[in-house]
Amino acid sequence: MMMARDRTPLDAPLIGAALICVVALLAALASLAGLFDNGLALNIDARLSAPVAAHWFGTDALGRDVLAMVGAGARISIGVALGAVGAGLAVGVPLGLAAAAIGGAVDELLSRFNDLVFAVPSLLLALLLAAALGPGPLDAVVALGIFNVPVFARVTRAGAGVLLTRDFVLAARLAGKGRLRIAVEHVLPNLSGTLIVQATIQLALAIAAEAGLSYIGLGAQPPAASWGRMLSEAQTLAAIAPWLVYSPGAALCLTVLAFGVLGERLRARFDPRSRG
Amino acid sequence: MAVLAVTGLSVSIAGTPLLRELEFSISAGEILGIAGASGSGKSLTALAVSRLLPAQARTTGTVRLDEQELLGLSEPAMCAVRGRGIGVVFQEPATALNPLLTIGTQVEETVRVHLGLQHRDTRALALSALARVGLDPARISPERYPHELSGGQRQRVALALAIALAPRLLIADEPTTALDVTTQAQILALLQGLAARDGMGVLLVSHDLAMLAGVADRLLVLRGGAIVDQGATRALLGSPQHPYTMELVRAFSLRGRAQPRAPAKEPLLEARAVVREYPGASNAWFGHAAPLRAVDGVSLEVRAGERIALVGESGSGKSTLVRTLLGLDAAEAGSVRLAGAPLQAHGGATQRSQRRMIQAVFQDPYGSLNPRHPVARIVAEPLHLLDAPLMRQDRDARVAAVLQTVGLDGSAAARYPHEFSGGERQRIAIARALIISPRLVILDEAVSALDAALRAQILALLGQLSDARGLAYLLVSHDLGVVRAVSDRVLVMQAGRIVEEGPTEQVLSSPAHPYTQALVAATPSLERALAARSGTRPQLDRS
Repeated sequence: MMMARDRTPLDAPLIGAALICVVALLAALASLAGLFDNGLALNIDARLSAPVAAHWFGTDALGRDVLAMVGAGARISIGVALGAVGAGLAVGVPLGLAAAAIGGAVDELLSRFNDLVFAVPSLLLALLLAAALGPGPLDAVVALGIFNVPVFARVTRAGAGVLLTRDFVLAARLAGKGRLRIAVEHVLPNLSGTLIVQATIQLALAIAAEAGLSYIGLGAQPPAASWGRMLSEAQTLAAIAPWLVYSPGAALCLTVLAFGVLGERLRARFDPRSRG
Repeated sequence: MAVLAVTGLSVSIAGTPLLRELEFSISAGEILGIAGASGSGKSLTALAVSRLLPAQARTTGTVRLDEQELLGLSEPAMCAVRGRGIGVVFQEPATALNPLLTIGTQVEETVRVHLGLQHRDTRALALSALARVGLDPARISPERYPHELSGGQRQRVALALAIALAPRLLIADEPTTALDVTTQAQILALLQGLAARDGMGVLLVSHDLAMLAGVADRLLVLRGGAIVDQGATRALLGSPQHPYTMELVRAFSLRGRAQPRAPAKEPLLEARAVVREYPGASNAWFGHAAPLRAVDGVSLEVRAGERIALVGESGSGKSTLVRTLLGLDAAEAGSVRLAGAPLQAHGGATQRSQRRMIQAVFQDPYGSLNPRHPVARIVAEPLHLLDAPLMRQDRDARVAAVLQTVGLDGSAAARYPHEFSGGERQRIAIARALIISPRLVILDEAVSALDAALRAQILALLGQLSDARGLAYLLVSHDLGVVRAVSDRVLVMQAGRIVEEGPTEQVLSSPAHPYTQALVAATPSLERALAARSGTRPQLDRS
């Protein structure tokens, strides 16, 4: 199986990684002062220009360069997704480990908390947060972060539950080590593969979700550019300036796809059952 | 006439030859055993004949079933052969059955897939298959689900699936390894009956030479994917000619050990009327069912330097008792004292000094070492029990010393568990148990997963260590051969109680309790098997 995969000329994880690099490069370029600032400036004379040499992907209704905006949007999209997934990992993994290691009431409490969070629609939570914090990227990070917590808590809880029954855990207990110490020393390292894979998948989901929040006005606020907002602004102009839809749409799809493919391949890599 | 004729069978995967030029045949009604150490290609041979090898395997040679060449057949044609021509049974009955279907339905489905008959006929065939493997539909309802059966009964269902269509050849790969010796004896009798009555050829793969000696008509000895020896079982094992066969036989018959030694007077570990219960299944809304008593008032004593064996079949409460003795779980009633002081199951400062006295080695060397830690870290883990942490170089020195004690190279310290074989891993686990110089080591089926040669090695090592350091051990095992070879005293456990105990030789040669008698009688022994085989087949046992 591994042999067959090695001979495949178009290696899927490579494509995924390459796409992510392109998007990240775009985001980095966008943040390099000066390079895109021109493009992001309003330029009413050049408004709604179709793709030309000066503006490869055209301009929007305010004359801003679409390529520059997509680049700037990548920064927000990836930033929000990283923040949300990072928050989910930072809170969810310790919770899941504690639930598995301590068990009993703590375990029960965590499961009910997870059910509760899954029961609240993310949109509703984002709206509430927007009301409390004012809409913005931070609002998106917090709202999406909260939804990542139970995902990682569950993955960790399930994986740790299995690992805790292994004999090396018994051996560690015989060496006088406490439950929490065993959780950190023995369980966590064995979960890293699973968690990395889950994080990649969650990044893909978070990027799509961030675009959704921005689209309905709950994420990044003007004048900041974001893919969701670009799509939302393009909606009314799509008939006369379709290029406004193509670029952010393609950027969004490719990025989600790239993370998705990478995640799937990493999963196959770390899952011993899928090894030849 | 040969049911199965194999010539020049070679298998390679990714250019690595795994089977080399195998030649053998099986006649109707004959049981051919395949013996060999792990990794010798036993299972691979079974898979190659049934064409169940992974897709990248390259197979050459000929495999003829009743004059029909199998190697050239397409997969759909092969599917028809499997089931009708060849039945296959594997080691683990639990995973061979679909947990969501009743046993009757599963057998019936197999029949219908192959015969495409009308409903009533398939049902009748399924029921007769179940009856043939000793699951009389009148006593054991075909409406039962796999989880409602014992391990032995599940293996019978797996057998029923394999023989429902009366195949010409039955391939059984370690069919009794997951079962208790008493259940094993029943399944083997059933296999012999099927071969004798239905004229089925049987290819029986096992690492257990004594078991093969009891049932196989002829034996193949595999080593490194090639047949090194073959012949009639009795001649082959009774007076082995080939050096490798001799080696296998020698490793298998563990001969008596050093003299029994006088144990110290004072008890090291002392259990008094220990009771362990598991909560019963929760009963919808009305609370819990009665708790299940896994250990029911067990008292035992291990003196310093004493070598004790604990035997009993799975589910008899051995492992639960061990966990309690190790202080991993608290007992519901009774007490465990270590060196005179009560053993505390949870935390506490006093635990440290006690813990240093008792360590354990577990059954599965693949599960007992953390795959993410290097060997040095694994072996050094119990040093956590020292009152003051060691300096790095002192710790390294102790790790190196203990690795040497168990016969591993010092370079092992920096490597990871996956770089070692099963036997080496078990040595690492033993090194971990020894590093803080405990006075008692509990070995929970610690040699069961190893093949005969390795088992002999590890047992010799334990014997040496025990002699050199006055180490006491409690060996939990279902293998009476091992028990006889390494213990002074034996405890027999059944249904949570100790039903018999005494000096090993005495208990095993003249068992008093009916359960011990059954256990001794059911345990395959190479000598007895060979002595008993004078051409007659045992009667079919339908119990």
